[in-house]
Amino acid sequence: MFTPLIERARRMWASPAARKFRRNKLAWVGLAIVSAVVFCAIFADFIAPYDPLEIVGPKKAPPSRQFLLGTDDVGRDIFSRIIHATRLDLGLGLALVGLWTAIGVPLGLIAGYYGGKIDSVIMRLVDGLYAFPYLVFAIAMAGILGFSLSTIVIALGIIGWPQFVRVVRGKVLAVRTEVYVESARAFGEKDRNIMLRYVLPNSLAPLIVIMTLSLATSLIIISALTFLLPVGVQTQAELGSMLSASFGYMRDYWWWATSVGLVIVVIVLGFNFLGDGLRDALDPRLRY
Amino acid sequence: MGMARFVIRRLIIILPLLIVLSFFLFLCIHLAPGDPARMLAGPYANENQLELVRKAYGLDKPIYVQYLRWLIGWPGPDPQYIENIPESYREFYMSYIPNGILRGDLGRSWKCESIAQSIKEKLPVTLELTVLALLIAIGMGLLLGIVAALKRGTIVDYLSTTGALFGLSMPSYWLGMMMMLVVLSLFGFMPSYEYHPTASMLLAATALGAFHTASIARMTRSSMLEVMGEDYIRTARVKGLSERAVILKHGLKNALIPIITILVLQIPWLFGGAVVLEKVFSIPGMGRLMLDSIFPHTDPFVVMDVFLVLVVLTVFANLLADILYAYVNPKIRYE
Amino acid sequence: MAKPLLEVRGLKTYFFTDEGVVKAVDGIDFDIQKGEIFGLVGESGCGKSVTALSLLRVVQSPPGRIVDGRVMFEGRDLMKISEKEMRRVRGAKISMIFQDPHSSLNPVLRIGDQIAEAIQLHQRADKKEVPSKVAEALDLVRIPDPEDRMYQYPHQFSGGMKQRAMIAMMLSCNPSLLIADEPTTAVDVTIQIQILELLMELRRKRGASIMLITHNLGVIAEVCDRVAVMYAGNIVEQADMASLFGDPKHPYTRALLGAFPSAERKRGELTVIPGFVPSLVNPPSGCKFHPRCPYAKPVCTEEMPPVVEVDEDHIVRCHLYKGGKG
Repeated sequence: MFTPLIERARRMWASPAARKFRRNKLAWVGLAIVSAVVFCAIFADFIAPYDPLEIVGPKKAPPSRQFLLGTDDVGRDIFSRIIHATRLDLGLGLALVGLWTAIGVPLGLIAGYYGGKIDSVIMRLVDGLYAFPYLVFAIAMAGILGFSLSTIVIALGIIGWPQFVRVVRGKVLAVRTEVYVESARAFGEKDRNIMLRYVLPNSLAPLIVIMTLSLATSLIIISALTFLLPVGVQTQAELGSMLSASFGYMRDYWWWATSVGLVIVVIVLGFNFLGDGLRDALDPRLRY
Repeated sequence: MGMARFVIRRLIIILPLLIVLSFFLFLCIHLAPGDPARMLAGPYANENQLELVRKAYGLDKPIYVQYLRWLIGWPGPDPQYIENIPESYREFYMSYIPNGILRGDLGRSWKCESIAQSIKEKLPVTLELTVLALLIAIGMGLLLGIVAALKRGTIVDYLSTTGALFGLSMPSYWLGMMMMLVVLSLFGFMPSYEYHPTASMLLAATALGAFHTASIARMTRSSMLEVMGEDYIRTARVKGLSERAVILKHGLKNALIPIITILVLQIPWLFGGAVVLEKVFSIPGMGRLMLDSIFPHTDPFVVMDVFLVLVVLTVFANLLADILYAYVNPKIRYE
Repeated sequence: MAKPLLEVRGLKTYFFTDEGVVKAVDGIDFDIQKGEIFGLVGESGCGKSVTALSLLRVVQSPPGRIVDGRVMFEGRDLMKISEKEMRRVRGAKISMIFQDPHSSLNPVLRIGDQIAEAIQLHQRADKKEVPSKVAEALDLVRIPDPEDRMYQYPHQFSGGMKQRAMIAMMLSCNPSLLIADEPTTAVDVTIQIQILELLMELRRKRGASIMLITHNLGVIAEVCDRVAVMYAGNIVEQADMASLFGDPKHPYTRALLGAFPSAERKRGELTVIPGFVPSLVNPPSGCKFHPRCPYAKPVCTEEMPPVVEVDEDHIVRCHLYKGGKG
C-alpha cells in the first residue's frame, strides 16, 4: 500500500526541480535554519536551561557561562526565553499563514477555474485590498478590540491574503487548460471534484513557495505588532515584545536587544533562503 | 483614454472597501469589552456626560444609524433633546455631535482636541519620513540592482544579492534600534527626535527604506538581466549607441516596468513601517498619534481616522504609481 | 576586379560555455564588392548570424569572443580599431537588420525616436531637421503617413511595417553595407516579396552593398549576385549565382539544391540530407561534413580540406577537388 507513495517520493527526489534545489547552497542553509528553529520550538522544554517565566538570576546580568545571553530586566534568562519564544512566534506565524491559505486558496481556485465574472469580481477585490496597509489596520483593530495575540493574528489574517489568491489563480489558469482537466470535464465530472482532485494538487508548487516566503514576512509583521503593542509583555516569551522591553535599556545593556533581534533576523533569513530555493527550483517566474 | 478608465476602475473598488472596513472597525467598537460611551468620552467623564455622549452619537440606536451619523452626519440626534440639557452641559453635548466624516468632520478626541488639527500637525512628519524612505529605497535599490546586473557573476553581484537577502530579513525597527546603538557608541548621543530631528529622521528613513531597497534591488537586477538579453538591446548597439545610452535609455526604461509593479506593492508597507519606526525614534507623526490614542486609553475615533487617512494616502500613492506605470509602458495606454 | 568593400580573412568566433568551447565560426574568408548583393546561406546553427555579429563586434561577450581574424573595411582592420571608432562604424557605415522585427524594436520608445537616435548620433543634423529626416526615412521604405506614424509605438505597427521601420532605421545614415539577417523569415510571403524588392531598390538607388543571410535558397536565387555556402562554421563553397546554381561543386551545396522544392522540377523526390547538424563543441574530425557526405573518403576524416579555386570566382573546400580539377 505504501509502495506508490514511496515511488512518488523517489520520483520527486530525482526530478529536475529537486536537483536544482539540491544544488542551491543557500537553500540548504535555509533548510538547516528552519529545521533548527522547528526543533527548538518543539523541544524547547528540553533545550532551554531555565524556565522562561521564572526569575532565576540577578537583573540585567551580562552574558556568562551561567546565563548564555544574560538576564532581562526582571531576572529571567534571555537565552531560555528566546528558545521558548520560537515556539510561540512560529506558532503565530503558522496560524497567520494558515488563515491566509484558508482564505486565499479557495478564492484563487474559484477565480482561476471559473473565470469570467466571478474572476473579475474576485480580482477587483484582490487589487483593492492590495492597497491597504495591514499593519495599520491591525493596530486599529487591536486598539479598539483590545490587545491580544489572537486579535492581532485575526486582524492580519483578514487582510493579508491577496497575494495567495494571485499566486494560486495564476497556476490554476495554466493547469485548467491541461488535457487531463479537459478530459475530466468531458467525462462529466463535477466541477468541485475536478478542482479538488486534479487542479489543486497540480497547483501546489507555487503555493508552497508563497507559504514559505509568507511565513518569513508574517514573522516580521507579527513581531512588529508585538513590539508596538503591550501584549503580555511581562510574561510570555515572545520575540517582538522582548525587543520592546529591551528597548528602554538599550543604552547600558545592548546585548539583550541585539541578541533577540538577531534571532529574528536569522529565522526570517532561514525562511527566505528556503523559500527562494524552492521558488528557483519549482517556478522561477514567481519572483515578486 | 485607457488610463482614466484604469484609475476609475481602481476607485470603484476602493471606496466600497473603505466603507466596509470602516464599518467593520465601527462594529469593533461595540464588540469590544466595556461601554462604548466610556471609550468615546474618556475615563474622567461622569455619568451625566456619558449619557450625553451616548445621545450625541446615537449609541442607543441601531448600528447602521450610528454609522451613518458618523459617516455623513445624518440622521442627527433629536433637536428637542437639547432643550432638556442643563446650560452648563450644552456646549459639551454639541461638541460631540458628529457632522459626518465625508463632510470633513474628523471628530474630536476624548480630550476635546480636534482630530483634524492633530492630524494636520502630525501628517507632514510622517509624510516626510515615508517619502524620504521611498527615495532612498528607489535610489539605492535601482543603483544596486543595475550594478549587480551589469557585473553579474562577480563578487559585487554576489555581495549585493546576499546583502539584499539580509535586508529583506531584518525588521526595520530592529535595524533602527541597531543604528541608534551605533550612533550612541560612536558619537555618544541617542538620536531621538526631540534632541536631533535631522539625525533621527535620516536614520529612521534609512531603516525604513532598507527592506524596500533590498526588494527593489532584487527586482531591478533580475529585470535588467532579462531586458539586457533582449533583441532590441542588440539593435541599439548595432546602431552605434554608447553603452551608457544602451543601458539607461533602452535597457532601464524597459526594466522599469516590473520594477514599478513591485514598487506599488511596497507602498502600503511603508506606512506601516513608519508607524513602528516613529516609536523607535520618538518621531511625532501619525504613528505617535495612533499609539497615543491606544495607550493608556483607547480613543476609537482617533484610531479610525488615522487609519482612514493613511489608507487614503496609500491609495493615492498607488494611483500615482499606476500612472507612472502607464507612462513607462505604452502598451497600457492605448488599450 | 575592383577593390572589395569588405574583406574578411580567417574570422574565428568561439563561445566559451560550461559545456565546452563552441566553435561557431571557425576560420572563414570572403569578400563583398561595392554595390553587390552577397548571400550567405546555410542551415540553422551553421554560424551565419554569428558571422554577421562578429563583423560588427556585437557578439554577446561573456560567452562569445572573436579569437582571430581580419576584417578590412575602408582601409582599416575593424578587429583592431577602438570601441569608440567601432561605434562610429556601426549604424553609419555598416548596418544590420534582424530576423524578428517584433522583438528587435524597443517597445517603450516611439518609432520616430528610435530612428532619430541613429540620425542624431551619426549625422550633424540640426535638431529641427530631424523630424523631417525621420519622415524621409519612413517614406523611403514606403510606410504610409510617415509624419503621423513616427509618433507611434512598435506595437501599433504590423509585422511587415515593423520590418520596414527597422530597415528605415538602419538605412537612415546611408551605410555602404547593410547586413540583413534572415529579413524574410519571420514575415509572410507577400511581405517577403516587398522586402526583397525594397532591398534591391536600395542597392540600385544608393549603391549600397547588401549581405543577405538566410537559409532559404529561393530568396538567394531571387536577389543575390554572389553566394557563400556555410556549414558548421566554415564556408564550403563560394561562387557567383550562375556558377553556384548551374555547377555546384560541394556535396553539401548539391544536396541543398536537391532538397530545394522548385516549380521546375516536376517529378522525383526531394533529397534529404541524412544525419544531423554536427555539434560545434565536438565537431567531426577533418571535413565537418564527412559523416553526412555520400562521397566521403578516408582523407575527409583526417584533414580539413583546403580552399581550392575550381573556376574564376568559384571556390570550394572539398577533398574531391584539387586545384582546378572538377
